[in-house]
Amino acid sequence: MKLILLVIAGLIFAFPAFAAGVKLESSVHEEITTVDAKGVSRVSLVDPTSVAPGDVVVIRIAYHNTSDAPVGDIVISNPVPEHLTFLTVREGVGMVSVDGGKTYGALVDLTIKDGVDTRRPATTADVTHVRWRFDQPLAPGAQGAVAFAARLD
Amino acid sequence: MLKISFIMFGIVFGLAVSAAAFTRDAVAMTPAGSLIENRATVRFDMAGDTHTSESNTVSTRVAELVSFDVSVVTPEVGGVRAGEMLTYTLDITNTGNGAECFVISQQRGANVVEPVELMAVHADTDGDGAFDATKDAAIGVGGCSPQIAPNGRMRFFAIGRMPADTSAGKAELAMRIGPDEDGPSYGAVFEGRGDAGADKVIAFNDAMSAATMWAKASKLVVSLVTSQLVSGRVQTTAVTGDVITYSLHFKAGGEGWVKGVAMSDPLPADLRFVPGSLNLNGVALSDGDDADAGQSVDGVVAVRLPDQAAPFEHTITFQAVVRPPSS
Repeated sequence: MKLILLVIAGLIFAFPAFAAGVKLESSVHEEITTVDAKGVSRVSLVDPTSVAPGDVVVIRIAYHNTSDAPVGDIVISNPVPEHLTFLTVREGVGMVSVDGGKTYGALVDLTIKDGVDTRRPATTADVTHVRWRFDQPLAPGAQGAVAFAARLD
Repeated sequence: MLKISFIMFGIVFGLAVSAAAFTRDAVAMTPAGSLIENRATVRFDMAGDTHTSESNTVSTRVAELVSFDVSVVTPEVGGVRAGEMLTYTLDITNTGNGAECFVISQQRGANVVEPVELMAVHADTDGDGAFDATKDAAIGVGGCSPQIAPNGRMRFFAIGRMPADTSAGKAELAMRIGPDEDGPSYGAVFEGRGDAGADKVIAFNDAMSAATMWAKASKLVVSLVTSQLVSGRVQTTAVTGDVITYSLHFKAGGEGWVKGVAMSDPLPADLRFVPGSLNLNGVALSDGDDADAGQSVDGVVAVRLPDQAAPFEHTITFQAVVRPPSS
């Protein structure tokens, strides 16, 4: 009996105190622009009520290091959902892919195949994925968000 | 000197030759009710091991955007007679992202010129572009058309009746087209009433849902022919005692209303009206200023013709005697 108890204790202490690590929470918001009496435009994010074609939505990914240890080499990836056309990264330093997530870069540096032997500069309409790579480890309990905007087709 | 005054109604005869259109390009949109689903992935290193995890999947349902274009194929029909039935053609294109039926109804208001009465609405059921009452389903004024799919186009025929009074020379058919006869305002949201239970968002205003067509009355032609007989003979000279019989023939041809025709003839001093000689279409008129259409008072012979629709004609006759020369 004592041997079994020792083995169980060893097994328990062999695993680190891992509480999910980085937790993600995805949300969608509608971006609305209002103009006040002085003609000043203000952009705000609201919960989507009736999102219709032509509307701009912001996809926001909140991250949280729920462990008690720092985590590093963090990469958050988000495919551009069907029926949305990528517009721009809103939060964080993000790179985009136009080849289904195989390679990433700044949009201005990317090209796309156009015909048999030609390529053309990629546009926002070609973006298939967005990715954020963290340069620094994330401390225990630290949290933040990344986001990108897209237009509903 | 004979004077005729009247008001003539009935203007230029013409045919509709142009199809004024006010269409916008249809854009393919995400179908109403579609789900936008998002899920992110994270990869990270912790304690020397690489881990991945996913976010929740968040779903957002796409609302239905209600918008449409109206193209009036026949903005004007010309040469229309009073009470005549006429056919207008218009196309409706569904530029929204959900299927909708459309209601065509008549707009009435103080600023509508002599309205053409909208009698019936038919859908181009057989799709041949031409109206055939035996093949094109009647959907009724204010009734819902067959559903038009997103980016779909359907032709309709609005059957109207020209008003009985075409004195204005033209008549107007003002119509309202929309998915709901009561006309919700631009930007209104109806929760859950769109396709697949999505919200419905109104993306059209009153101007977009209005269509106006015209009917021009056929041309009215009026003429007056006068003649005279001197003691029963055709001649241009008369002597004292001769009886001159005057005949005035008023004719209105074509189509339209003629109102307020009044003939007055002040006799020269050397002529004396023959009492009891005035008649209209062979029916004697009294000489006095009374309820009937004619009179001869103070040397002026006057007859009022009834208001009526062309074509018609009237003949007025009266006699005058040449007086002896005044001393």
